Amino acid sequence: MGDPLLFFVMISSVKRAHAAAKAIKPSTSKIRRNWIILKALVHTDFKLRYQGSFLGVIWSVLEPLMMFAVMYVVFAKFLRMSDGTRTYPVVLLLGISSWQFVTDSTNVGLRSIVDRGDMLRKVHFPNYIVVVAATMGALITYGINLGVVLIFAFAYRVDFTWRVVLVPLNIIELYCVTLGLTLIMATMYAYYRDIAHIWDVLQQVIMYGMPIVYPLSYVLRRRGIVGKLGKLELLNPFAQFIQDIRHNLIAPATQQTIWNLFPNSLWYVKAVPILLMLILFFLGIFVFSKNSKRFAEVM
Amino acid sequence: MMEEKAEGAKESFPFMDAPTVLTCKDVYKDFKLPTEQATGLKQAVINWTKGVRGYKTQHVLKGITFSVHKGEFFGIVGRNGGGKSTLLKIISQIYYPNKGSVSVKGRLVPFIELGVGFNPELTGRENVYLNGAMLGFSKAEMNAMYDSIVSFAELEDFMDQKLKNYSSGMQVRLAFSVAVKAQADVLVLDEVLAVGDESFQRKCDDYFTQIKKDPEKTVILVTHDMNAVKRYCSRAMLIKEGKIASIGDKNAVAEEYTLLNLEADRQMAAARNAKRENGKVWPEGLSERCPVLRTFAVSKPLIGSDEKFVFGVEYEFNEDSDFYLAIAINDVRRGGITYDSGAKTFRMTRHGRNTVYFSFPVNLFNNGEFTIYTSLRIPSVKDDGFTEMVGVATGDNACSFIVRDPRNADYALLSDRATVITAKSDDVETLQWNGWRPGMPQVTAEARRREERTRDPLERRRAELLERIEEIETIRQRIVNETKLEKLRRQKAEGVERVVPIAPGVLRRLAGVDLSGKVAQITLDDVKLTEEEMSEMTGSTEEVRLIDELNRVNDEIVAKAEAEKEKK
Repeated sequence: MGDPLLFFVMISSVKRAHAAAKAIKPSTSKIRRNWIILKALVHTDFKLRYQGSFLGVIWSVLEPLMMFAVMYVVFAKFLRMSDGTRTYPVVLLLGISSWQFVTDSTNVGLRSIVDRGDMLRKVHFPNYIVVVAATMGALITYGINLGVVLIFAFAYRVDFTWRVVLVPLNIIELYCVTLGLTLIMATMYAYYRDIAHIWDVLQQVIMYGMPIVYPLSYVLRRRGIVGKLGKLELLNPFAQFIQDIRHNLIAPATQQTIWNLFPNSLWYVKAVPILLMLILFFLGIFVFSKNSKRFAEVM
Repeated sequence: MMEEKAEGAKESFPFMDAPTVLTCKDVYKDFKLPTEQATGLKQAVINWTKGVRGYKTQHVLKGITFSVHKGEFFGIVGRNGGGKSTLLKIISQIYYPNKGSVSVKGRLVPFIELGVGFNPELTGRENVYLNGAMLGFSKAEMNAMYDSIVSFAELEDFMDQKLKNYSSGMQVRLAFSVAVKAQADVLVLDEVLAVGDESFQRKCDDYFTQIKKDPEKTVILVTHDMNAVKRYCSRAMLIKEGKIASIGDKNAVAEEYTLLNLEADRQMAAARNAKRENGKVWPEGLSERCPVLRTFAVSKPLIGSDEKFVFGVEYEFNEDSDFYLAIAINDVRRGGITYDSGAKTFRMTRHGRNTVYFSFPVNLFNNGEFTIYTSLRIPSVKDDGFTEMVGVATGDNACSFIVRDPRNADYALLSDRATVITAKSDDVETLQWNGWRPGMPQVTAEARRREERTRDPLERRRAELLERIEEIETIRQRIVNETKLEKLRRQKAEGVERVVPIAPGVLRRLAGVDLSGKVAQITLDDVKLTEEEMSEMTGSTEEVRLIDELNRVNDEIVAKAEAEKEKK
């Protein structure tokens, strides 16, 4: 499985390839061909998403705006969740949109192989492109949401620090763990459809086990075992990376991440989320590529 | 074996010297067909605990080996379920073989279905770009090809409409147009000629005839249309039950495919019409009174116009009355009875179970497919002039043969050797009838030479005798094989077995019967007939007479030659 494309994905910002060959024979380079297919699939998915709607593509901006309005009213004004900082609403919205990227990615991605079954059975192309296209689509939506968050950030007069530079790295980390999980689940979905229902429940469990809608300080303040174990929430790679994004983008002083919550002596604990990310990522690639030859027959 | 045959005839096929673009070596493919599909974890666990395997293995491809050279137009034919589509998908790397390997040089574009990835919600333009992207063309490359695609499809005005608004013909045209412009090195098409209206068929036709001449492009076409195979293909292959049944000359492959279909039709009809009587199931046409009536071929089922079709009829009739065999020859394609022997022409002299042989010259006919139906008849109790039918050999018990000869036409039944229409006006200039001109002898050069040699009455008689004896010899050989087979069957029933492998198909064809796998392991050569059994078959009275006459004629010829030598 030494296909360079996946590594390409990891360094996604550096991609834009050299000029196309002048001849009208299709590019024989495998990487280029896969890239073309990927672009076409993502482009088509995006176009189809807002098919038949009156407002069309504007929804991709309008939808997060409206969602945020609801979240803001419910959580910030109504329930008055706060960790004490002024910028908490922005942090909240950033967390929600990051998790939405994960759910979007996994929900569409795990079904993507089966949904595009007819294509897989008629044309030969590497199957992982379909899953990557689904996650890319979610990534684009995430990007748009981030733009909206930035607008809110300016409105709340957030002080941006140098740490903003680290945010792309965190997003890449989040993407990798999501892609790994999606690949595993997409493989399982092709054989047992149950995985979709299992994941539906699981993602709720994970979400409430993460400090997204509530600040971590709420948990840490509790007495007894809950307070002590609250820190363990950050062992979850999703939680940790989202916290990292919030920390680096908005509030480095107050957002807890695994880096500042645990003492340096417990360095092995700090390595756990990254380790889990690497495991999920490579396991995903491995499981998927082993089964990829049989997808056309199983469906 | 098949490869050797093709290799031997290498020079007769075009492009065989070109480099190979596709090689399949020993490809095997099995599918696990689920008997109880487990679509959920619960069902899977239940099945596992019950010990239900949940699937049975179906062997779809059993060792396919062949190669395709650059520039060839290669046809793959076969009945449904034989493994063609699976082979195509393996070639296109959609499925992977369980054993064996496939190697492709150059870009292979498969068209298992036209318009893969066509999304009805997108416009024609967007779909073209999407399809092009699926094939690996970037947007810039598509821009350059776009105009030629649209003009080939003749859909200039419709490209900005959604695909769901297109008629099916338009969709197919657009998909084919993209496929054509895809500029693959190897184009693989799966039965795409079957869809589309007439103008589309003509477009396909133009494209294929054009691409056939291009030595850079290779096309592999899977089709059921034998006319297409004969028109376009440079070489063809017949796949039967997962194995290559025949590869090489397209005409030979097309004929064999036709034969296969005829056989299959007959078997289906036979199975459908089987009757039940007295607790036994009689095939259609047979009954207690006539339990066995079967026509089988002795000659090859594919014969030329100079040959005679020799066939045998096996019957069993145990009643005391006179009985006759009436034989009708039915033209499968044109319909109707071509020739009928008559109800009371052949009277059988032996009752009980017996096999008799007949021969039928086919020189009068053009190319055609024929089936022989034999009926066993007894004089009618009411009126001695008429006969009643007791049994008829139809369905599986009938026998088919095909006439193919380069001198023949295909449309009408009678060839020009039977009769021609001659013009009686000066205003009509008769050019030629299917290659024969008035004044030309209506026989091949070979036959003409033979004719010249036998102008001498003695020589002619000798040739006739030899021919007749050869016929008898063929029939006798057939009888010997039948007897040996009968003996084999008896031996098997008694439990005697020897293992020397030969192809079961060969044996089956010789006998016209179905043997179980085990008996097929013994060769006919191993079966030795005793003196007694042999003596029953040799020396039929007619043959003895013919051989005597042949000896006399030979002596006369020798005497004559010596007399002439002395005269000189």
